Amino acid sequence: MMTPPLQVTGIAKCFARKSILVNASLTVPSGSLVGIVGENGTGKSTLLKIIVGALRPDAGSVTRRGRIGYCPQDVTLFEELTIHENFKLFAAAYGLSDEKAWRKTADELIVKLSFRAYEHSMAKVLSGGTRQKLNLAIALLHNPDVLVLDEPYAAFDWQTYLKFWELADELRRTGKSLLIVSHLVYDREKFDQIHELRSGALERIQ
Amino acid sequence: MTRILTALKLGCLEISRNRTALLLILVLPALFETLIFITTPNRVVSFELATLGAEESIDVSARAEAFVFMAVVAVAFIAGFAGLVLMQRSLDAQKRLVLNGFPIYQLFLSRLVSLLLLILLVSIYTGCIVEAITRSHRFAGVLIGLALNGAVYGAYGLLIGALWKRSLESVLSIVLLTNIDVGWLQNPIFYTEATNRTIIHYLPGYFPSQVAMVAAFTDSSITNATVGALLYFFILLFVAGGLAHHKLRAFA
Repeated sequence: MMTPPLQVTGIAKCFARKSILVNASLTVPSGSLVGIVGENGTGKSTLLKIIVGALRPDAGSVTRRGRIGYCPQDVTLFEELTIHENFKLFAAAYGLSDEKAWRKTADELIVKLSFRAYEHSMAKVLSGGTRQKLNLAIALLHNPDVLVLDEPYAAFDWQTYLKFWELADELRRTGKSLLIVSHLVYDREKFDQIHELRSGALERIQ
Repeated sequence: MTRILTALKLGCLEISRNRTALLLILVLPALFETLIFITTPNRVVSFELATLGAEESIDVSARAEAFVFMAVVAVAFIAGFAGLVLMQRSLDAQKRLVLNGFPIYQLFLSRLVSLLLLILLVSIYTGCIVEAITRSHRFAGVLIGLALNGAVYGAYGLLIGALWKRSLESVLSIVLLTNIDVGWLQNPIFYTEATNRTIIHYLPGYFPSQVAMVAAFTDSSITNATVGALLYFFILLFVAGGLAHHKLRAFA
């Protein structure tokens, strides 16, 4: 059996003595699309932040194998930089030294997500949807093995929403894993597993 | 090294694209000096400089003293705010960079270097305005004093930017300290009459203001004050770096 690229075991987290996560566990197999749903304030984003390493859990462990791509819920960009300059800075963070190669990947993502018209615009002047596209594209720039997405399509129009799913299918076909968190999951059939976060623990519902 | 250079280049671009900030940087020193020119009399005033001692009294025109004093204030204000903006404005994006593998010290270093470059430019620009309207004893020393003031208050801005998340507390922290320290207590005319001088010696603006003032009005050495200013700069920078590390660290 293949070792899963992402394994979350017994995660617990408290904020100001209030328990948010209690023994949350999850396994994301290779080439799978896993969803986490839950009501607002149940700790979905907290769990994702722990999974990617932005927060330290009070208990439990996360085992990551391979590269992780993380798209945070709040669009997190350098506002005074253009789309290409944002790519350049994150390429440096990922340690992508072959500029020709990462520029090719960035161009492909720009075309796939349809925001070429704005590539020389500063992030601060982009529309909400385009900012979200760039937010997602940055998470994909280094060709990650596991893509962790927090409410990735909240600001997308219908066409972009469909393109997002095309991209997700393409990634899955190439053996990548996706973990998507949303308070709403419309297309349940697209997911291999869906877990609901309730009372701090994950319960598989599909 | 490539990472630092990329972040430095893009950090400088970020600053250069903030047109409001650039306008303020250009206008503020000129505005401050113009106000001094309009409001301050040309009569001779006597004051003492803390690092030279009470036996050495300086006699210069009130306007010349105010020109140098206000240049110090302008640079400290601009540097403090620039440090704050550089650290605080894109804190979440910086955190995302770190999460994706950008070493914190490299990111902090690139921000610091872009801040120091800005401070250097502002110090030269402000120093040239002062020199154009009043002749100082040692122009290079005045520039060093202004740049050190900028460095100390720039580091303070970085520290405040790493400490507070909300801008109201941050802006108040910058305005209050800069105003009380550099903009009031470090004025040699106030210092000469001050009833308790000890506290003034311990404030961050003390050494760099002394460098600028001593170089502007005397031929005495500025070495000790320069060392004191650098010490303050490194202490503030160390604390700012520690706080930034705490804010930006990843656990992966």
